Amino acid sequence: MAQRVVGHSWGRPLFLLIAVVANVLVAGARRASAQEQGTVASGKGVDAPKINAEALLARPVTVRMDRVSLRQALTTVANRLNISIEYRIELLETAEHAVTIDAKAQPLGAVLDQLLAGTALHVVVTAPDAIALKPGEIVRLRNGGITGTVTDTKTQQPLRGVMITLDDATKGVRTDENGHYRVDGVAPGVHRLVARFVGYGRRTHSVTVIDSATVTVNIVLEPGVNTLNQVIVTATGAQRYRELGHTVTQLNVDSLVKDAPITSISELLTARVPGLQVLTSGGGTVGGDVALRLRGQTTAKLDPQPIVIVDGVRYKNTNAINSSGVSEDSRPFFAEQRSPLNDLNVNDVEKVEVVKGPSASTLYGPDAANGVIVITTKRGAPGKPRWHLYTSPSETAVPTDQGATVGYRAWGHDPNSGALYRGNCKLTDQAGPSPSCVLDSITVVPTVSQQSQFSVLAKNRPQWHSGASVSGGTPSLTYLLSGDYSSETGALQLSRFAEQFLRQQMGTTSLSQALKTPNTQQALSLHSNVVSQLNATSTVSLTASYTQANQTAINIDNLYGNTYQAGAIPPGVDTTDPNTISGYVPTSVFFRTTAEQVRRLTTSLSGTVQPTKWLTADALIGGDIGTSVDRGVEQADAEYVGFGGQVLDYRRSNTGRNASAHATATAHPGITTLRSSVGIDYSYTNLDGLNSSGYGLAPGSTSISTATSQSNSQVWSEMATLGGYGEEVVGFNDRLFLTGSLRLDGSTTFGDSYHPRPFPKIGASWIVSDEPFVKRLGVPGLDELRVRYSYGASSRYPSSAMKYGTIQAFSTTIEGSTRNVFNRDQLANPLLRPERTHEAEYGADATLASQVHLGLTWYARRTNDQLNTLTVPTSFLPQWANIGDVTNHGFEAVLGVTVFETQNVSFTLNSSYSHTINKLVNVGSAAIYQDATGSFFPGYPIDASFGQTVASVADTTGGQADGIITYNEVTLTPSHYLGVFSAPNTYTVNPVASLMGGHFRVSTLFDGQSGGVQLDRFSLNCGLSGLCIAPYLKTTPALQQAKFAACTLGCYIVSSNFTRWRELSVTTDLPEHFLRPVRLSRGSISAQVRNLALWTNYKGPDPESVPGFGMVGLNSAQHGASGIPLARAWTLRFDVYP
Amino acid sequence: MTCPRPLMNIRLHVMRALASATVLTSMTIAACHGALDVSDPTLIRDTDIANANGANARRLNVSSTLNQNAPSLASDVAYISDEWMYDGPLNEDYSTSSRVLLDRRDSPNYEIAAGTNDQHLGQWDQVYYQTSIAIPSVRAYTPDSLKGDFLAQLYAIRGYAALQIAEDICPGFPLNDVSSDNRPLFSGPLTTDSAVALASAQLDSAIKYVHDSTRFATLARVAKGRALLDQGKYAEAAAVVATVQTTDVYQTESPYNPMYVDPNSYCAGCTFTAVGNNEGGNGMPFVGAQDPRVPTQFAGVANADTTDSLYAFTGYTPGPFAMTLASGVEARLIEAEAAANLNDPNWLTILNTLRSGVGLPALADPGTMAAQIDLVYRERAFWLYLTGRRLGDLRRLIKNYGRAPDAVFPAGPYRLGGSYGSATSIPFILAAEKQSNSKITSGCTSR
Repeated sequence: MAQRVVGHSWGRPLFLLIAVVANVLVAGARRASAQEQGTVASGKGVDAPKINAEALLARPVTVRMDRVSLRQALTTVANRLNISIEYRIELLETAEHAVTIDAKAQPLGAVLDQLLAGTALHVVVTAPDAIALKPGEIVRLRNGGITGTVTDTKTQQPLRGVMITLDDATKGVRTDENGHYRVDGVAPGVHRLVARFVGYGRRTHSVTVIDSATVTVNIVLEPGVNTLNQVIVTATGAQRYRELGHTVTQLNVDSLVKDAPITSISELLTARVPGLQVLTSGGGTVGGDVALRLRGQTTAKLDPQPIVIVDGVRYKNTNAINSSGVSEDSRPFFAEQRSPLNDLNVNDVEKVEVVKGPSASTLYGPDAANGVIVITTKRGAPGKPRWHLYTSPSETAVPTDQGATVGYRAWGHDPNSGALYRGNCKLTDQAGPSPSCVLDSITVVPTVSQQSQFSVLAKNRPQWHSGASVSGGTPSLTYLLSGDYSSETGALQLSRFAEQFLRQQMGTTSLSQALKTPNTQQALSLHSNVVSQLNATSTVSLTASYTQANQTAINIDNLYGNTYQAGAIPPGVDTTDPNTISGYVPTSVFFRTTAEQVRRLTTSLSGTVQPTKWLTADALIGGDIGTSVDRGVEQADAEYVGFGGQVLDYRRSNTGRNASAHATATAHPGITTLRSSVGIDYSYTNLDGLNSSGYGLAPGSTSISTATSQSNSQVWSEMATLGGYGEEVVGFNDRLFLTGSLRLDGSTTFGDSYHPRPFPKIGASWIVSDEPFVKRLGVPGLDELRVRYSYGASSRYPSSAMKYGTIQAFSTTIEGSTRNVFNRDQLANPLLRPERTHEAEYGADATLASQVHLGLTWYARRTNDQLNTLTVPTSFLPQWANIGDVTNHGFEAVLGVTVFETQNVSFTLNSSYSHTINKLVNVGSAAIYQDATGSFFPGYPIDASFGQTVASVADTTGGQADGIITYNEVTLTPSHYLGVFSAPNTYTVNPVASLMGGHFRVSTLFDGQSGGVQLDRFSLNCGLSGLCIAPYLKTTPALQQAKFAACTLGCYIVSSNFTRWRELSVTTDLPEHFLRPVRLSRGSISAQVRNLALWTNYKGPDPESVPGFGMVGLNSAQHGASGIPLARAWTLRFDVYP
Repeated sequence: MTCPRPLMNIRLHVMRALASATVLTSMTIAACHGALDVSDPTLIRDTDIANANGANARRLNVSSTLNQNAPSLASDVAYISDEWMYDGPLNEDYSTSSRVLLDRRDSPNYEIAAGTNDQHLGQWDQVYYQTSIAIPSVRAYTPDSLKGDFLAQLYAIRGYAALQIAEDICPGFPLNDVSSDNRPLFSGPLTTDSAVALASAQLDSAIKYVHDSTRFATLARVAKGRALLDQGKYAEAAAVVATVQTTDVYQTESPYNPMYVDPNSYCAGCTFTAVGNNEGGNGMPFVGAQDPRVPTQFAGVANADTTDSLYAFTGYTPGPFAMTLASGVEARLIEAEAAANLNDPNWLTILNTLRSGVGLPALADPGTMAAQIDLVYRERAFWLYLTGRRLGDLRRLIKNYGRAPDAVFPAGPYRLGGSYGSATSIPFILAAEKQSNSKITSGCTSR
């Protein structure tokens, strides 16, 4: 029995006979012709006698089928081309098997070759629109291969790490350092080759592989801003950006680090992600703490920072609070803390994805309500060992022009006795019927900024970052090993004057280097990754990052305020005795030293299996283990003679463990695509710490064992969380995607009587520009237009101790002897539950005229069940409870414009803007307060500032104007809202120029903030500490005098708007003739500058330098920027590839 | 459709099964706290101390809390009454100094300055509710041989705290407590009388439970006597303290003395707490009387007017401190007041017997009832100086004996400017109470 398959017409028996004969005659010629073309070939011959078989077999056909029967496939092809395909059905039954094909405008012959591969059938053209399938010998074809190079379309530079996949497989190969890739063992036929790389649009090629041949396919990728075909790593695996209902920002770290002045993760994140603010603690210090705010602050008492996930492992990134919510505060003497976020070497990072808010981060589980930063480290690529060496020496300096370099000292005498007045003879001291002093003279006083004996800011401090990596392997086993060593010296130094003083006090002739240079950092980072392709469907990967760092630091809080007036020498006073000097001297800050040692290992073992083409399963176990030892020493007599000195020794051990598994299945029924994911994850964190202190050291000793008074205390927390989730993504015609998911967690930190509630998420993404009706409209210049919506809920967890009623044990003398006492110090809350944040996000992405990429996003967020302590006015012990609500809303825009582009020259401009603001809408029964340094008051932002300002001034005391404004001549306003410390508006501008075909690149970055306030400590100190001459002169304007006379902090809360020239880099690839003699394959050199300039009306040291007792503020952006300005760094970076 | 329906159905079934299995598994495991147990070595749980030692430690915590709070709260009484007066530089802003605002009886501004911190009521209430935690534990785990006395002590302290709140705080205050399962129990507004009655009931329990301890009996009976005086039950008051020996005493223990004022700490332009001397015209001449019960030492000349001499109380030392909460002397003073009210001439004998013990000359009978009461209260002022009694005494003079507030409290021009206010009690802080206690919606019903 014969089966005849036709499209719209049936039967052409005459042509069948002719075709059989022609097949025999022409087969050899066709094979040769096809092989010459290199892309269309087959082991089966196709003969065409008088009819034009070539024309028929060359007709393009588009067909996409997944695991359908051969009969169905042939029917579909016949229908598409309106031809008939005839065969004996019994032949087909013997060859019945499922076939998959994805051909877009491919020649019919190639499509049939692929469909009939492995069968004994061959094609005979029997008529201009008819084909017959005939039996023959099974031709055993040998596999071929695909190879090529991937380059950047603008820079022409090879791209390393591009993922190359074949036929929609989840796993693939990556390009090596030279952009090369190779896929072996490819079955003959037509294949769909996909190149994906972070920051670039996906590129798909249809490739036909012939018998045992290797096809070369070079691929050019185009960078783009949120190009819809970018691939994003989501909680459920890799997804195309076009499928997501929310926005995600990607950073291609590998190329950024080479071309920009970036030495840490925090520098990488600064001003690169709309809505992400990076707050620095130490200003110009090295190794200071940082804190992140993503889309503002949504919590009043818990850690407001986004969580960080490195290679699937939850990564501890904050000092302020650990993942269990326990404050660590581990730095002795409130010295600046080292940021755990920066333990990870930025040179080991391949890409960073920033997932903003609960609408995007629902599936990430605990504490994801603040957003998630997903970091993927580098991996190896197959091939010979490839080396990469880099080094980047830097010089840094703190700009002293950002603060007063001189202060003033006003001399006077007692009006009654005529004796020298020992204080500063201010206007207010000169006023009234009984003045304290009569002004004699004013002298200029050096300050910490001036290059004088009092200066604590050294210029031109060195920094070194050097590293190497080697990668390579085989297709079944790749590896990457890297190491980095950095050595940095901060700008702070012991002044000559303070050095002399300390030597005198301590009775020594020399001081330790730690005292002379109290801010240094050395770090060693090692990173390794091994990926083993166990078989065609299974992969195992082992990744480990180890960091060892030593840092020394001091407390720089109010460094300027404490040391600025620095010491004015009264006439006739012994100048070698600082105790006779008015005000503070640098020793007030420097007599203590603090050192921190950090050891940290982050590792993961993950496996992926793809048992079928439509099902992928992953599993991971990982750990993040760290220890730190912080040791603060103040030697005997360092502060003043007779003081016994002290040692503080704080030790911490953090343990984080993760285990997770998830599976994703895909299906393509009809016009829809289904993507179903389920997963489960477990995380455990533990903090164990011991604080030891000793007071009263033996002279010269720094050992606690010699202390006359010793004490110990423990810090501890523990949390375990187990969660599961499911997600379904439904796509229609590859242009409308609907997402629904649900997550449920259990945690040891929830109240015992609380039953967890699920966290839902929905999303929609509609590629409007792909809709036929839009294409028919033919909107000029519109390449892509996508609208999206996402809603989700996520959480922030209570700490391990919040739910318990706790009892404190202590000893005290009572009833005549020392007895143990148990005091209930916290009431339990069995209903304690996580803070729950809901967010709705909507926006649009567009690409216009292939040159403009635009992304707009709005969001509104509400956080309920805020965790706070119940205010118990009658001294009930504090009880944690879920009270109060916070709302946030904001807007983000990104714009990328290719201004012009030629083969050799291109210029692009990327910019972003974000606005975010929060409001306490309900505080429940928590304590409210309004203060200039922070507030907690309904109707206002969490970090709002309130205070009094000058309402009016009247110089009327005594019925006459004496030119001096005193306290009772000033009327202050009632306390009122002054602004918010977290600047609501941020913006960036990032022009990039590429010359010489991409071999010479210039990039710069400007960013700024507006709408926020800070404490102007310089102006405050002007009145308090004589940093200006105004407090002494009657010519000072009345309003300024009024501030000195009557104001507290409120008058000095001022706008902190600024624009900073953040980065400038010039990079050139080294020419081959220069590299070849030294056996280098590639190389580049980059000159970079960071923090070039600052434009601001803010008069403090730096609106971004916000120290706060050694760590960045937990619940607000901190305030009273009083640290030292951000350091300016000049860097040369050399990258070479042997 | 390009996919065979049976194949597609199988795949969808697999996907559904995977999803269901994972969600069900995670929900089951998440709901099972056993899988998520962690151990916390720093936590002491109630079950850990459900024994005799634990009960005793909780009892001692009550005593410790009382020892910590009572002296500092007696300072508040000293300021608002005539026991202490405040001195400081004239150009200082006194609008937010609680000490100054108490000293000049400015309770409205004192309440504003306190913000959301109700220290006086809060600390006494802390003593009160700690007994609620300790009493069930002592009742359950303390051996019978000790149980009676321990319960007596706890009830006596509980009653003492309630009585002190009643005597110090303006009416309308809450007396919050803790339940046996450690949940807060918020009270509605109380009057002074209702709080005294509540204290009296607690003290009755203490007297009932006391077994062997003279100290605990002294605290219970003297406090009960005070409560009865407040209620105008003079005969009952005398009766309840009759068994207290004059030498009996119940004192706090503290490693330091918060009420110690160093005479040498005075300096021009500094703040200083001085012994009141005819403060506000009505105050006792604690300095001028040169009474051995209130020893003083000259410290310096007042900033306020540069003429007044300031004196520090030297009856206290800076080191370990014991403040008398109840004593046989106070028992005798209660008996004297009761006798005076009952026209019993023995009142003067009682006072003179006490005075002779410290070498003071005998007093003469002033003749009138009012003058006798004045004399009794003058004696109380000197005997009980800086023990937190004076405010209750002045309020009793107003309530029980009809004296005008401005006739017993310091009044007239205030030495640092302005005039004395009209407060006759320490206000509770409404803003603080309202935050957690929905039953409290208004402040002092009288000041």
